[in-house]
Amino acid sequence: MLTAEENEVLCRVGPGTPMGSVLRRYWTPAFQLGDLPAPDCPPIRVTVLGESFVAFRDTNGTVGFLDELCCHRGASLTLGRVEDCGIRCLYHGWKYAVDGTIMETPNLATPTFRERVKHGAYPVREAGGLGWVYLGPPGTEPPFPGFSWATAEPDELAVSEMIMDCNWMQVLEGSIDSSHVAILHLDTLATMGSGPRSVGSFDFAGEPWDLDMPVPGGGGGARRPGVWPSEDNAPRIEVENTPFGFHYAAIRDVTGEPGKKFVRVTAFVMPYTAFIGGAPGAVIVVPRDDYTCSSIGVFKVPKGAGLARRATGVDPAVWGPEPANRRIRRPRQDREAMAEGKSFAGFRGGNRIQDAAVQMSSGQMYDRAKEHLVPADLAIIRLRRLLADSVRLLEAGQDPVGHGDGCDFSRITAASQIIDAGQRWQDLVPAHQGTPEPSRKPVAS
Amino acid sequence: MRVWIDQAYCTGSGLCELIEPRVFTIGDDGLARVRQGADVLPPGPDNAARVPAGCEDEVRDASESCPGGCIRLEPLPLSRTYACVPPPARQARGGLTGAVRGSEKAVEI
Repeated sequence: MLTAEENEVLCRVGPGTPMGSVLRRYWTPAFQLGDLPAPDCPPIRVTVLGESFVAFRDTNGTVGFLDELCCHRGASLTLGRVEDCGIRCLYHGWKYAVDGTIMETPNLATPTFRERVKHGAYPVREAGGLGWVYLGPPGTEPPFPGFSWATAEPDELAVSEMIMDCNWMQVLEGSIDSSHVAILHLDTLATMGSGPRSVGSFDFAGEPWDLDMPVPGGGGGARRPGVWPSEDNAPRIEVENTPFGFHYAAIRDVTGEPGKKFVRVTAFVMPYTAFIGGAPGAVIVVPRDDYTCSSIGVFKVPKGAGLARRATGVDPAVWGPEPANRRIRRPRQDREAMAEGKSFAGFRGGNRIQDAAVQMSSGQMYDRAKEHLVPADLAIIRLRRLLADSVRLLEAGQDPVGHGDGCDFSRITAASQIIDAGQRWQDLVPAHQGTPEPSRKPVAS
Repeated sequence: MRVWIDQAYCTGSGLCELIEPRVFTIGDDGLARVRQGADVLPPGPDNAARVPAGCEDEVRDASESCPGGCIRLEPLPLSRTYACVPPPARQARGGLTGAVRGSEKAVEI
């Protein structure tokens, strides 16, 4: 449990808050590059960490990320014209370059002002379908987290964003919570033809009913019978710090194989990103403000499949990938299917819809003074500890934890497999501690 | 690091013993105590146990997940410095059924 005061520190992200100050010391994925598809395309408004910005792609293709409101008299630059290597405010025509330089002030003839004043502008990196920004003090940027999919082509990536009306920690904690997978997502496992067939007194009476749902690592309703070889719903959690944050293993008994264990290794990269076992990518949770966040999925897919994968199996009346449809509505729960043994949770649309339904059900900002944690929650405890440690370190003038010193971000991964009971799970993810792997012996010809 | 149990706030959930049985145990009264090796120490701040090497993370895990917030660490780790004041004993409806100090039987608290 947390005290009410600790919970406030953990959850609030605006400028000047303890956690907001910590998050501003990491690169933050703020928007989808697909929303700025071409030079001089319309700008977009981006709210992140409780502040609003305008993002635009100038005539040269360079992305700018500026304070939203014109520094003259505060009109929104999202209404502006993107033209001739800058963005021009409609109100009095002031024009800004991507680095915040004031290029023109039509209602002020003298150049002195624009030479001495600069508009708020922030470093931007384009990687893996996302625009990453750095909102911390100039000169304090940590190494950029260039994940394995950072250089993938757009048609090799399935990037999808779900905007949720709840505090970011409710969603982030769900991304590192292995013990809910074979319970809340029982329908998903059943659709794939794997995992347990029951939770408590619930048993599937026949086949599940949502056969078009998107499933991890496959298309709509793909069968993957080997994906979950266990009926053990109380995994042992082992957590270990790493240079980028931490990784943990959820260890389960393997059905019918007592000498083995089923291990799911999740890597958490401070402060937003979880690489989840069994899925070829990551889930990134970014606070928009204290009561809104984006859950962004970035998954590597076969070349050409990036766009086709996005929209299958989810009711567009609930959520969709289009910019105007990214805010998820509360999905309908099919109580009839639940009662008839066709569905455990009653939500169509797969894991993310199921997750969103329960995470938003805790309210806008859950009070963790009321919770009761158990050993299956040890990764969540570690997440909170690293964030709280970072708050205190930053207040003491030091860097927050997890900047990845000595770590190759492109080699961070997850794992999901059966191993011998005596084998170390850390061997599945050898690059995570930033130490070199044992050199290979030359192969005799 | 040293650790002791503030039994006024212990709910007897047994979570600490589950997470780190080398340091925590549940006594006959249903409340948590700390161990020093094979010895179970009397409750209270005057009998804090030294946390053995290799148990620090687990002891912090237990402290940070304790439903009563009763596991006291000295010195206070960074992450708990927002929680210097112990939370009030719970009076909520529902919640835990556990033992409290001075009580022989489990009560609703």
